Amino acid sequence: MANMLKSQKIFNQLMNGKVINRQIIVNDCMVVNEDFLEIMKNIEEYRLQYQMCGFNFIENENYVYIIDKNRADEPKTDVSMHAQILLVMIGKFLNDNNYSFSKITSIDAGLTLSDIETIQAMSDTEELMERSGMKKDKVLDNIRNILVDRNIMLENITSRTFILSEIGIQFYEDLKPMYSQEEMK
Amino acid sequence: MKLNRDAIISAIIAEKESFLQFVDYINQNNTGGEFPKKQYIFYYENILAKKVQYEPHNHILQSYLKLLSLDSLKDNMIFNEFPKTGMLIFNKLIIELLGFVDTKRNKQLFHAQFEMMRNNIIDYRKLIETSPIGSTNYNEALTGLIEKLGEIQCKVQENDLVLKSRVEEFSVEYYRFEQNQGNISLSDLYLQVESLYERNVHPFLQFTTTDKIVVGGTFSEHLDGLIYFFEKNDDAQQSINLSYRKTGITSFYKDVLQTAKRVKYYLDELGKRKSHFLTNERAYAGLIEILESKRHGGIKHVKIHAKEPFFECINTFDGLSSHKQKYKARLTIAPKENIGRFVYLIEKVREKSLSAKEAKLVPLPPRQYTNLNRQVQVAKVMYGLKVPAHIEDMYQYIDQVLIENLPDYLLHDILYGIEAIFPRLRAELKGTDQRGRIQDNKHYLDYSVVQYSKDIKHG
Repeated sequence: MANMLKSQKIFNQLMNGKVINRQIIVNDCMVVNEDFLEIMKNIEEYRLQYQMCGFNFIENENYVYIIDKNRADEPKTDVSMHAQILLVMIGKFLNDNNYSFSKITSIDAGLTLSDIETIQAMSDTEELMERSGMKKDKVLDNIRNILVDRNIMLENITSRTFILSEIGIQFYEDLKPMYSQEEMK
Repeated sequence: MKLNRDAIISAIIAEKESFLQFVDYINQNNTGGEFPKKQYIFYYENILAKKVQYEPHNHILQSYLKLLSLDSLKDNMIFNEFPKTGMLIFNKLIIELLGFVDTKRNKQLFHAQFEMMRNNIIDYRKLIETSPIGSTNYNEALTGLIEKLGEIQCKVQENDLVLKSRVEEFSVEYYRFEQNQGNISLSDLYLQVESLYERNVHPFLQFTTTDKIVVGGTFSEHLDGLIYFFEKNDDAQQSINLSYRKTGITSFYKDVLQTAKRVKYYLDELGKRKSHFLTNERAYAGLIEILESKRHGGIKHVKIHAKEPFFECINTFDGLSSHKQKYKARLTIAPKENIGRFVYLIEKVREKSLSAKEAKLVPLPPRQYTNLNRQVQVAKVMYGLKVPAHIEDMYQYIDQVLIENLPDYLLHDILYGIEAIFPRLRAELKGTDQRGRIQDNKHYLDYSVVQYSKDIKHG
């Protein structure tokens, strides 16, 4: 039986377009997200609830979010585009500075504020953000408003660093089959 | 000139730093023991000769000039030379000796060499099993087998050390790469580790394993066959000896497995990094491609949109949006279902005034006698009027008449008009309980509707 208090909290998150990940940061540690557990325990109920309200419940073993059934034929949203652009820019930053991928997945590492300044200074950053409708001189704000606000990245408040959540990692995994096949020149 | 080989080998060991460079050349270029003659001449003339020059009283060093001269080395079969190729061939024993002195310089065994060792054992097994026991052939084959096993054991032991030192080299190289100090690219490092694993570590594992995984029988299986053969022929001593030898070789499996795990770890880590590196690089290039397509110099501010092919193929965040926003008014008509979509849009737009801000109307002020000429002008229009038999709304009527007759009509003029015509028609006018309003750009006039009809006659 679903917990009424938690379900309201979950509703607010999902309706605001947030992703509920399996893990979150609490006191500098990755811990299991209680909201995610609540959904998984009562998955049938939650699935039904949102299906009745006209949403598709996107779920896997690591994250959950909802999408509007009526807009199923137009899945590409501005939010998804902005998130993708920011993550691809972060990937480029890792390459250019010889960082391994664990830089943005390990709680002990993470993207620092100075790293974000470096991303801001990359040659095509401003144009990319301006043309995609983001604030061109505010990579940090965009990361907070788009990636952190929707739980695609998690912010470690103490160290002021950002790491990928499960859905963020999934994005890079999904990119791999498309872009890592050919041999490096 | 024939010289004592002891002395030559001592000289080579003393000068091993230079001789190991020849071994390096052989290993790096896989020449199978050959290296350029000019490289040796360079060493002899520029390194050895100068050393002697600096220490003229060092007799040992001076003796090296003779011992290590090209003629001496050729005559004593340290080097062989094929004329016209410009290459010297190093005696295999000396290469092995140098490899023994410096493990890192030794070349690890590769697949073909393991295969050859396995085939040697198969040949000896056949020879032993087919020769009559105690015959010369049998005894020679047995001696050959024991020698071969000794050789294999040495090689396997040495190879284990070589592989371990290779892995150490990789760990240093990987660390330097992590620190961004390495000269080697990620791709090259990956290829090197992959090649070591595929060509050297994996065949080594296959060679030493006791599992039956090789078609035609593993080294271990054939030795087991021989052990069984000796047991069957009541040669227990030989059988026990052989089983000890076998264990001596196959026991390296555990060590090699350990090395293999380490190599595999580096391979996996490098593989992951390589894959992420490629993904990030290519995805970013895809994004820049979109950007370039927008830099056409045409209309300004051409935006990247979510339906670009680049975003089409990535589905991770499909449909992600704030659903609370959907209650906002918006035009959501599917184009296929509504051909009048544009008309609908125009209607929607027209519902709203396009002017920046609508001026607020004020009530019409009371009568003003400031412009007598205007009053006369309006009165003339009113007096010349042929009033119809019935008028539903006198104010609207006067407004209409004045609009038609006065090109510069303002709402003020209606007051002059009322003043002029109402007294004239007073008897036929009738008030109602309806309200009406007339307005222009600045003013409005609220009034009670007054009807006119010829039939109405007030006493």
